[in-house]
Amino acid sequence: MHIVVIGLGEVGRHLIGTLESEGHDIAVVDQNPAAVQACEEQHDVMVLVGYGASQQVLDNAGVKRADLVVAVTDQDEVNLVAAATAKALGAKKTVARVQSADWTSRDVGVEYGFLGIDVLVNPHVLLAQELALIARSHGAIDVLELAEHQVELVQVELKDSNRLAGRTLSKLRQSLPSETLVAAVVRRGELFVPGGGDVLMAGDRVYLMGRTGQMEQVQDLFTRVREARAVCIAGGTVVGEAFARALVRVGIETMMIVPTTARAEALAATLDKVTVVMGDGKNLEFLGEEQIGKYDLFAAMYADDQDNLLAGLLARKAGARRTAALVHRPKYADIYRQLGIDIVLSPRQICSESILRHCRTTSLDAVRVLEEGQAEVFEIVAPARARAVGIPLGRLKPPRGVLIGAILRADRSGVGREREVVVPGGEDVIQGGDTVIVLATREARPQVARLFQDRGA
Amino acid sequence: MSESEGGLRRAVFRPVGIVTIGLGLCMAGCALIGVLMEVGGYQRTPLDVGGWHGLVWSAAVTLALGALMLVVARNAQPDPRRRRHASLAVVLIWLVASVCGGLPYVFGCGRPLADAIFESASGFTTTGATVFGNIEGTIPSAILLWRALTHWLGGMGIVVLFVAIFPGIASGAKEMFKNEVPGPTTDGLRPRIGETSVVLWQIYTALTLVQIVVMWLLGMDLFDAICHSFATVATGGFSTYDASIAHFESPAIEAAITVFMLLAGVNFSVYYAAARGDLRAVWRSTELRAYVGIVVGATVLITVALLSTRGWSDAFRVAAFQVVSFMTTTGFATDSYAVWPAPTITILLILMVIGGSAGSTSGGLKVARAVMLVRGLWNQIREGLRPGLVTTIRMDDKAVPGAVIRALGGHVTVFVALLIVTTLAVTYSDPVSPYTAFAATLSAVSNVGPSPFYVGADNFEAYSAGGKLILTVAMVLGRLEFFAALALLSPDFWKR
Repeated sequence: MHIVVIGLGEVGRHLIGTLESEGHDIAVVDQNPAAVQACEEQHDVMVLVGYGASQQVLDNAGVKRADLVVAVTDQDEVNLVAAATAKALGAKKTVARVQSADWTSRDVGVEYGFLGIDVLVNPHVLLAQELALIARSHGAIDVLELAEHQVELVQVELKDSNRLAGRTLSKLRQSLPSETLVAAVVRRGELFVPGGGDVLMAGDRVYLMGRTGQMEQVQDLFTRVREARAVCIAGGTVVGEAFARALVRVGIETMMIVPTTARAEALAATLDKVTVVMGDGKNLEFLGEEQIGKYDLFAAMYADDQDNLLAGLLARKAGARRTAALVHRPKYADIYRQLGIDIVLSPRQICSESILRHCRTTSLDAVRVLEEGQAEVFEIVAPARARAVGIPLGRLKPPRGVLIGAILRADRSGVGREREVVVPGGEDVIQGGDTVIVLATREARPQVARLFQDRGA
Repeated sequence: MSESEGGLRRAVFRPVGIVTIGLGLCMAGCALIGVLMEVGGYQRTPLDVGGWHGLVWSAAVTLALGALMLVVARNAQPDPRRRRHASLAVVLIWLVASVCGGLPYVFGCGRPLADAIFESASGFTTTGATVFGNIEGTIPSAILLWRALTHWLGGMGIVVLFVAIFPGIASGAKEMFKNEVPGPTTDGLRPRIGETSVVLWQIYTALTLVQIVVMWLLGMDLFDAICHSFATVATGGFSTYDASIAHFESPAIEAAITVFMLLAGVNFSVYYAAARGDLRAVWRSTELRAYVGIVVGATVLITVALLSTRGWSDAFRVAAFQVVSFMTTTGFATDSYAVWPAPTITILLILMVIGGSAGSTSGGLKVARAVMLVRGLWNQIREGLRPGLVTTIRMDDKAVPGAVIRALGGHVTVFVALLIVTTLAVTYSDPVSPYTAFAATLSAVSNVGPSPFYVGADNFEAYSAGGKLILTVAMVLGRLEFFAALALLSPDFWKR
């Protein structure tokens, strides 16, 4: 597959690393010669120094025969023009990132077909929506929606004091509510799909899957946190503004601490029903005055990582029930967690994950990418004559690293109806036409392809 | 002063001349109707025989003056400094209109010039205060029609009207427009100012025509229907009878006029939005909600206060009429409210201060400004309790820009200052109590009209010539919302 990546920012570099390891041919365009040189030294890719929106540069990068063009420079306009031009020149699929305040105010996370660009991704909106789901959850540190909101994938952390620590999974399954299951476990940064004999340990991060509406009950086994009623956002960033809008929409009381007068006034003017306060979110006295302890969630959303870490830790000290912080350099995420920030989200990571979803040409299109590509979640329409169809799952015995999380029954009654969701046990059978939600580790990807290959031809 | 500078100055007479000629033609039209009424044998009073002569003379003088101004402005280049030019033009237009518009009262009713100017300014500013203590016995019908027409022409704005008819009237048409349309913000309804004027006048004319038909169906003769509709839709208040609306002794007419006054006090952009089918904008209009809320609240309070002396349906009828009449600054009367209990009069005074909606034909401070003031005050209290809190004033779910808020402060200050200064001046010019002087002043500045709180008659016949001129200036300043006129007092204005 020939892929052109325009823009060597944090996201561009991350994408190149992942795509290169998957064996694609990659051409890279950036205006900064130093960045381009550094990239050439690290990766086996073709590089070009030039303006991403230039037709000539795009032509030289070979967009005409490209299977995929990804435009992720720091300028929205360049990304839009580059992607639209590439599409017009003959690229098969184009993806562009937009993230300015103006685009973000539309509150659209992923848009298809705008200006002829196949996928338009706005990481700010995606992050705001994800964080809003987390705020409404019962203590989850991440919430991902699947199958048009019918299924949720929720991440929780197993605290030392929790009585589930040290239990085997088969024992845990007895106390799980119906229509939910343990999908994956992350231990010391390594993700695995657990079997019945595996034991949960304190400090594990656990991915739980199940029908939307049942997930609060599962979370209650792991935490005692309730749905947030009041949220404080520190920082006047565009992503903070988008988060505030997402909270107000669902009726959560929202307060925003903004460092500069001009920005505070602008936000107070645009955000109805949000209390905007001018002040320093890294000043412990100020946080005390503002009674941060009364807030269920404190989200540090500054542009600077140090600010986020410091504000998050101080808010914790000031008594905020849960703390969330943005991390712009994803490598810091673990340090944040170790220091005691509950929820760590990276705009860059969310952006690359949502772009990576669209970087596959096989029939398997990942809808979510977890833990920087260690695992993926697929929504697969099962062909009638696939290997996985027609036998009870207990006998199918999915290979190690593959989990069948939910089956959405083929809708035979008409269009637009809610489909029946089955969170499968051993007796359930996948039928042809069903949509199956599968979580698989990177290594197990070929096995998934084999399970759902149409053998009819 | 150089030659070109003089040329710039002279250019201001072009729009003024055009408007003056237009007014002259309107007078001639009224005279023609007087002639036709006489020829057709339709006489309302014995005065009608030859009662149109005064209008003919007035029209002749006005047309001559207008022609002279066009001659002066001939070949003059428009002033590139449009803003000053526009302020000057608007003030001159109102000055000339007040003087020329008063000529029929001089030539046709034998009134002194001060009375005539007061009556004319009262008409154009849609105040509706009168110096005629005996309307039926002194004013011929043709002049009554002219009197009502001054309301109608001034209601949506003389300048707005002429901008609608002649979009190229002056280089500063847009600035002139802004100077005349009441309210804190003048969002154009249409991209071109000429089109906006046309839209406003279409709405205004449609409302007037509907009311004329309704009045006629309810039993007024066509003449009264036209005169009272002009006075209602312009929220003016001149009646063709001394007893005002009470003359008709018809609850149906009172109810209908209440409705039309209420409609005239709504921001016309609301009608424009409704006509385009944008009902969401109508529903979300903060000002409309507040306007309706205040009317309902005041009506309930006054109805309750009147229950001790009359039945509830009667109390409600007169209360609703008087509340709407004062809130919209029309000034029609159906009851001798001067003898109502004191609290009701205080409420009416408050309504006079608030006035109708911005972008309507009514006067006063305007509901939009009142709402912003209250919200601003509330925000200040909150900010005082919580340092660092940043608040905004919202109208129609949108934040009000800072410039509008600063202008609001200035406007309220000038409004209050004008009330104080004029009250003081009136107590010097006339032997009245401070309270009476204040009520008369408020009535003039808010363009309400009758000064009900005056012991005795609710007309201004008894005031001295000086008092009448002071109140005339107050009416015009109130109508132009001060700044266009006050700008002329600034030395900067006359600097090159």
